[in-house]
Amino acid sequence: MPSIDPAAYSSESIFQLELERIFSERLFIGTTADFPEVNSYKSLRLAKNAFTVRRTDVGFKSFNNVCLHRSALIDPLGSGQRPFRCGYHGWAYDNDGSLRVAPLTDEKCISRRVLSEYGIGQAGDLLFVGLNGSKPQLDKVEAALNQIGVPQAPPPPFHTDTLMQECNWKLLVENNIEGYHLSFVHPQSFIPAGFNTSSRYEWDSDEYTCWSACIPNENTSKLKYLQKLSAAATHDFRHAYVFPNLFLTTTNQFVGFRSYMIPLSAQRTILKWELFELPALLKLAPAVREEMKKEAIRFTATSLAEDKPLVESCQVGLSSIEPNLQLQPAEPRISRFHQYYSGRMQNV
Amino acid sequence: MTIENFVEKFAFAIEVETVSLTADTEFKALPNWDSLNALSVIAMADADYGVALSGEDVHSSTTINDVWKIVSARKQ
Ligand code: FES
Ligand SMILES: [Fe+2]
Repeated sequence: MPSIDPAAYSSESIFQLELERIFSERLFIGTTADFPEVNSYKSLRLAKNAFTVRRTDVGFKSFNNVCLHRSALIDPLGSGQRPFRCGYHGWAYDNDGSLRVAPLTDEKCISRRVLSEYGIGQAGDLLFVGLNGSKPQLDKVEAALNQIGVPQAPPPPFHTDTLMQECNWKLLVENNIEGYHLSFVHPQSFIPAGFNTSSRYEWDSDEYTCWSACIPNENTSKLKYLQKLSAAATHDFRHAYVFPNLFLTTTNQFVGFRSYMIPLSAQRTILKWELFELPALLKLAPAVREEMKKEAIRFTATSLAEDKPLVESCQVGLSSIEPNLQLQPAEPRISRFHQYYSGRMQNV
Repeated sequence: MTIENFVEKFAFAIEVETVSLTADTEFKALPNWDSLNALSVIAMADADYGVALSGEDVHSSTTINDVWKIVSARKQ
């Protein structure tokens, strides 16, 4: 089966092209819950892009975050709530990115007065940036979320975490969109939860989204226990991927997981993840809810830790003198991903 | 509110035959014991006794009687 050129997993020049052709079109950056008030911000770096997303009194906005004076970051990296004002010499900006106040300056010495503005798009509570300046295309997102049972406006997360991965972002995508590895890699997470390599794996895709359901076989099914807790429970692990950097999963219709990648270089990627309660979990008795949330944190942290050495070892292998990539029929979503990726890389 | 009754409810919660359990059964050594069973026991304590058990209560107990002691103490 055709696949991406192994060089694309370690080449910095291909990574630069990916930033221009893929990540500048649609980049998930967080949910509305990350911006509780006006002046809440999230300041990020994507390779050489330093940008900030802000909640303003006229909605969500995204700007280049490099001060027009002498290039300090206007919003410090990370998130919080502050006026849109540079901390170095106090140059302050309006909610359209124009310079509002520049203390003790001479107008004649200011030729640039407006920050570049980027596109912002919202699907449910999910926020995306279009660093190419256009509004990101999001028309397929809602349908993908519906496929896995994520509500339009889930409650704020009960756990958030960050994981640094020494690998190319595409290796994380590929690891996420196949169930082939479950029996080999996940003895402390998926296997005891009933999911393994021979579980049923159903999948489908749309233009830039794909989704799957991993459903245990009769012999590992725990459906009767789960349905004792709630009639709304299922025994399945559902996964959705929104190209290029967002993953969402639902487990047994109790726990939702949302995770996104910010690539730092061709061989280094930050993975941010959070867990939230699905409607069926919200309805359980408080003691059961608490324990299920604790178990979900343990399960997720464990499964990510189980995957990490494997994706990082693929990075080493793909960067070696004799890399291999032979996709199997058991990895149909990866083939689909490679197809879409290749298309995006060609269409400038 | 007897221990016999509790053992019965415990068995029902984790889907095993009542006759296979006693107050002295070391439940975490049961062949299929898992975190979902612990949740089922917590749900049973809530529904049948109105008692909030934590995961820690279950994990730190060895026998069904140990769990019963916590439940009956909290019930009062
Ligand atoms: S660098 Fe921002 S005000 Fe001087
Ligand atoms: Fe995995």
